[in-house]
Amino acid sequence: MFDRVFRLGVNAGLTILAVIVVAAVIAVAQIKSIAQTSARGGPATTNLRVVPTMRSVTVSAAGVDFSRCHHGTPPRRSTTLALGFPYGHCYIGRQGKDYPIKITNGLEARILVGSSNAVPADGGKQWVPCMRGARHVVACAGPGKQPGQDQFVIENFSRYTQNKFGLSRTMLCDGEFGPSGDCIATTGQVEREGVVLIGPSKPDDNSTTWTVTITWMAAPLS
Amino acid sequence: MTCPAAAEGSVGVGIQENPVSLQKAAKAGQTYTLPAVHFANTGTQDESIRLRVERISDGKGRVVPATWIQFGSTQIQLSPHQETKVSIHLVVPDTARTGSYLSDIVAIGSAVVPSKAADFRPAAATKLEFRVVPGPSPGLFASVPRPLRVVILIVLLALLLYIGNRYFTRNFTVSVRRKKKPDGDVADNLDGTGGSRGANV
Repeated sequence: MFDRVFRLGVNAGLTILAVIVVAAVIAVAQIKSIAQTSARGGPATTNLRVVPTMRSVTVSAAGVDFSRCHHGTPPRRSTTLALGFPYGHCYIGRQGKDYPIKITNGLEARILVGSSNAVPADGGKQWVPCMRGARHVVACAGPGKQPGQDQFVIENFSRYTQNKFGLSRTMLCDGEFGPSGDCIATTGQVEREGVVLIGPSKPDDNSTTWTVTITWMAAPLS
Repeated sequence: MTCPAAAEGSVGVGIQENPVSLQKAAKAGQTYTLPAVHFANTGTQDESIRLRVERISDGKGRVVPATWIQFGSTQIQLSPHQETKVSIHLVVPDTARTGSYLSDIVAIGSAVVPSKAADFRPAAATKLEFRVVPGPSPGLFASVPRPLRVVILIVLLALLLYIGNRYFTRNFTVSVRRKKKPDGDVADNLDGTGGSRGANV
């Protein structure tokens, strides 16, 4: 009796094993067939384009220059292309006419703007950007909220409005980006801006070449 | 103010819109791998993007100390319209305060629009957010230096062995008696009792 049951069990096991082997052989053959079909039928992949998911800002400004400088008092009065003292003004663009800096937003974002120090070519004492409003990062120390010694004001403007308080080293809302003044930029929004720089009452450094960097940032909506 | 000669072209930086966040709560004293962050050069010039952690976004939460975040690379070179990902590790110190943290990962372009006037630079930011909960309990010997901890452990182990040997070791006495059965066979009767030291057979 036991011997019979044992033989039946062995037979059943062999049958199952055989079925598994046959199934595996069929599966491998199928996979090879699919692979060969793909190889014969051209590329099995295709490109899918999706909408952008990047928050970005792109800045361009061809041929801009501080081309209109004025103010200051003799003998250090501004010339057309050079800033004079005290409180010389130099412009990139012209309010109401020309806005040479193009700022392109990516996805909907808040656009922030800030300025670096003005760095002299000889590596000497830098000028610090100061602000004239009640909410300032660095207050302007000169009379009538003018920049003090080794301070400067840099203001941006657009066809909508002009920033009367000035930029700072801290990135702040760019109220000139768009008509609403809240610095919220829609997807793909493009705006153009200009800049005016107001120099210090007096510089410590005698360099004739200075560099200022203005940064535009696309930030989360909050 | 004078600068290099003017040139055509644009500079641009992009960063993923989705916040970089840790799904589970971070524990003080642990290190975590955050999802890699995605960047792009959206301008027409080669770009070298610098990464840093800074609080830009409004909202509740503690400011993330910059030292807690380690980027796989803090400066990335990208050709125009090229994209890449950078790994981020969050290292939460033992002394971290519990609660929600919020800051931003900021990508700043190093390329500038060259002009005779000022330099213009792009930047983009995305949120970085996570929550810190208390770490594992420090334990009794947390403040003891590690070498001293090992010595204490060895002494305790030796003490345990001594006590075990002194008070809990029992030796067994096995006595064998021989009984005579009525039919004359001899049967061994083994009888074991514990308690005394030494063995009598």
